[in-house]
Amino acid sequence: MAEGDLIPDDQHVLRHVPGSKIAQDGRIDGSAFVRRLDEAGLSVEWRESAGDPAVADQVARIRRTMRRDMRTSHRLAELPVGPTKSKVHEGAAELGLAMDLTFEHAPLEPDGGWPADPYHSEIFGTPEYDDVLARAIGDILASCVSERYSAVE
Amino acid sequence: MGAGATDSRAFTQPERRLTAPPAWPRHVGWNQATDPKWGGFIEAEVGGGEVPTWVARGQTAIDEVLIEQARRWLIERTLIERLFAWCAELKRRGAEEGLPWSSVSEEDFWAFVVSRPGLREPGVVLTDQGNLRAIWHNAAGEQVALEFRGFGDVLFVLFARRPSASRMARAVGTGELSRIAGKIAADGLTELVYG
Repeated sequence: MAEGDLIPDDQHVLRHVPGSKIAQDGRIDGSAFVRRLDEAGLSVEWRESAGDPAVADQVARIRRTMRRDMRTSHRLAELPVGPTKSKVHEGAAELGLAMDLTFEHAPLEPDGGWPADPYHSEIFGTPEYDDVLARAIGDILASCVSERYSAVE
Repeated sequence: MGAGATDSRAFTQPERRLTAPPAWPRHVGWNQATDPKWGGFIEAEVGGGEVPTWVARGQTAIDEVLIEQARRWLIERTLIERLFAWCAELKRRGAEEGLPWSSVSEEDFWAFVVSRPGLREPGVVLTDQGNLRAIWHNAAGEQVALEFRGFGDVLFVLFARRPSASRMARAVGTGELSRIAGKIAADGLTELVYG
């Protein structure tokens, strides 16, 4: 696995979701999938790159390396790569857009007291954060969430 | 509860013809045991100890209307209380995450919530801009999402399934708060939001 590698369609990524983006019923909102001003892509973690086939172990490893302030109200939202790409492509077409997302491996070196994050990846191709279409694409991405994990062990 | 008398024993069964208690209370109610979902009491202006003439005449149809009205008030009050508590939690979470809180967004959110009876409870989240965003979903994948951006400006994302089309109709844009109910209706999503 090297930087820039495309994540296979049969694999999964995890997106950190802070508590403010989770509704009363636990549903993850599309605003959690909108790029921020300084972001080129959506930051995610490639689950299968964390080794051990046991999902709980993969998630545990990822929790320990994510560069996020994890709290009990936060969640890790799982997206299946292939189905998400398809659904966003179709949903964007229904909005009159041609959109093809790419899921790329983007490991992080140790930095500022943070350890290396070898599982870090990016989703490229979503609209700019201030584009109203970013909200709609965010909602389509949120509808692709296949699993939610607690952000803290 | 108001400051009036609280003897409500005579009002615990909506089917029963109301008769005057010794001291007429300021409350109407229904039996929580037989109607646990909606049971409770709510204040009504029925006088301060005097038996209202409509009750003395035994106008049970009016009783039913009043009780139905009381039910609706209770549902709306409960919704507002729940949303109020959740907004307080969102405010706390936002502060924890270093997010701003837009008071003009909050004003518009409440204006929408109280603007029309029968509102279904939306999911509510806080955007990075500090705006409140309300979302209604159903199992068919339809949704109404309204981000209240303040000063009557709403960013909407509507997904509607058309019976005659295989594709989902998706709409995104901005509009005036005062016209958003019309937009929702035009997309056939009124039932999702108002029940």
